[in-house]
Amino acid sequence: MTRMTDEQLDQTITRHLTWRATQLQGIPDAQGMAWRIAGERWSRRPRWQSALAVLVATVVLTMAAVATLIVAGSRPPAGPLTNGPLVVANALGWTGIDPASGAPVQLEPCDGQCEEAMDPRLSADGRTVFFVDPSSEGGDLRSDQPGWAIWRWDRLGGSVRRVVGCDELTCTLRRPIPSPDGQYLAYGQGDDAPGIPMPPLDEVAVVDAETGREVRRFKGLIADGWWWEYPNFAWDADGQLLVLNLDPDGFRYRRIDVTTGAEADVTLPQNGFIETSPDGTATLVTTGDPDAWRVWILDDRFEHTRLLWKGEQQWAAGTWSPDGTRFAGQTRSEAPPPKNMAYDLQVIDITTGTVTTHVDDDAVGGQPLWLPAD
Amino acid sequence: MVTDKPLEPELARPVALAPAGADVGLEAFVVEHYDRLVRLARLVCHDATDATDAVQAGLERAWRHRGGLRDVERRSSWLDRIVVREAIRVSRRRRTWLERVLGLDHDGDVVLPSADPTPDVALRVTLDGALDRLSPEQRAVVALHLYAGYTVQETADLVGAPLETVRSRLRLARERLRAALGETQP
Repeated sequence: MTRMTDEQLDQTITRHLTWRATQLQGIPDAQGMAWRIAGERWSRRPRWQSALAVLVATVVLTMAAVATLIVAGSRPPAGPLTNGPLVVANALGWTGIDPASGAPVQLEPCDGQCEEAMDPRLSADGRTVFFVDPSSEGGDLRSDQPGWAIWRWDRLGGSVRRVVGCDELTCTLRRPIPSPDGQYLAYGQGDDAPGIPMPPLDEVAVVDAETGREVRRFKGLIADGWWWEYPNFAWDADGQLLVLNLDPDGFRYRRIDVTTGAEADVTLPQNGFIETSPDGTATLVTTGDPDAWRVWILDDRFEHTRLLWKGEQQWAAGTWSPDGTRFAGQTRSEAPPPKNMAYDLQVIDITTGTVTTHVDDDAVGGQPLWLPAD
Repeated sequence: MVTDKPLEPELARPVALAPAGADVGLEAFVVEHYDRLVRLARLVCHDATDATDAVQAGLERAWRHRGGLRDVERRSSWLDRIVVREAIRVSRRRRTWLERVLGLDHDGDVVLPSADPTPDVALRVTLDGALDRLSPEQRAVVALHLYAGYTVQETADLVGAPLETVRSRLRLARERLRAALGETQP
């Protein structure tokens, strides 16, 4: 078939969408559809397929969860962490893959009523996972409090509780990162402005990881606009916060003692994501442009820089493996269709720079999480 | 399901249950725009049932959080944003790994009106199948940009994704639709 111009294709698609949008004959009981107000329970019409899937999933996952809790509760983790499943959090709870076998893993029982879980991050001791529950228009299923919130999941105890959230529905929270000692939690925040429903995040807040009490807040930060457009920040091995910002001298990292507020410049490869390894001995930085994307490894003093990888794929913020030997991140490439702009979940070996792909295409689901083996 | 009978307008409209003192302006606005919202959601969801589910859930959210709308002139895009995001959420839930394993994630029934006014039914079937194979996020940006008429920047604002991400989704969607139509690479 001859290739249409983009304009011709768009016209064809628009004509088809106009037709498709009118195909509403599948509504069997529109009389029952009502705009329910707050305080009344809205109920979805039962569908036997969904009911069967939910029933089977509930039984299987409940049994798995019970077995997991029994096993986990009987032996607390000790010593260096070893690698467990590689996980991507999504609206279904926690789903993932076993990096060794490629088998799917579902970690949290979910009856289909889960809110989306984004940006999961493991604590240094491997016991807690912090994540964002985005309720862009409110309607939080985990609690009655609307708005975006950061939650903490006690992996061994099984409890999930809210740490901090937005008071306003126009606020967005992203990328919660616990400090190496587990005392603090840093996250990015943005607020809607008139006419800008979803602005880049321009604040980094530091709160007590247990109570949610605010310790520091850095405002007016300029996001790099390169990937998800939230500020670059990470904890270093000394428990100080690294924050990238644009000032009159250009992009530069500031190293901040969150207890005293003292700041100092630090030189890092710029305009990329920074991720510190679980033991703080190495920092991974991703940088580049469409012609050459790079992954760097720095030592804990930021003095020795090693180019680990260079290629055509753009790396996003990701997760170190619990044992600190590998790094998993979402990547995308500028390759010709259909691989252009397809998101993969890839793992890079920190020693050799070897990259392996674990999820091809459609790996969009937020930042991956690499859990320890329990 | 094959039928050419249009939906009764009275049945398609929501029943207002707002109490005294509620935002009557929003209520009236929703009643007026309900059909449009369902059509928009239909382009993201696999079927009309999911679309109406998404609209219902979206309207419930809108009603509960109507205080967050500071500019009534932006009601239309505000509701579109809520409903489209809910449609993406509904579509994602339909694609659980368990549903995929059990083969329950496909509708299987392509709606073909018997009184199809255009002769190229095969083209519609092809495009419909290709659209169904796009991700919910890709269908959302295609619907908002090419059906609802939002600019790419407005579409990015509505779905809450960076501009470049939306451009990428549109580019990938176009390429997949081209491939479905049997076009060859230039």
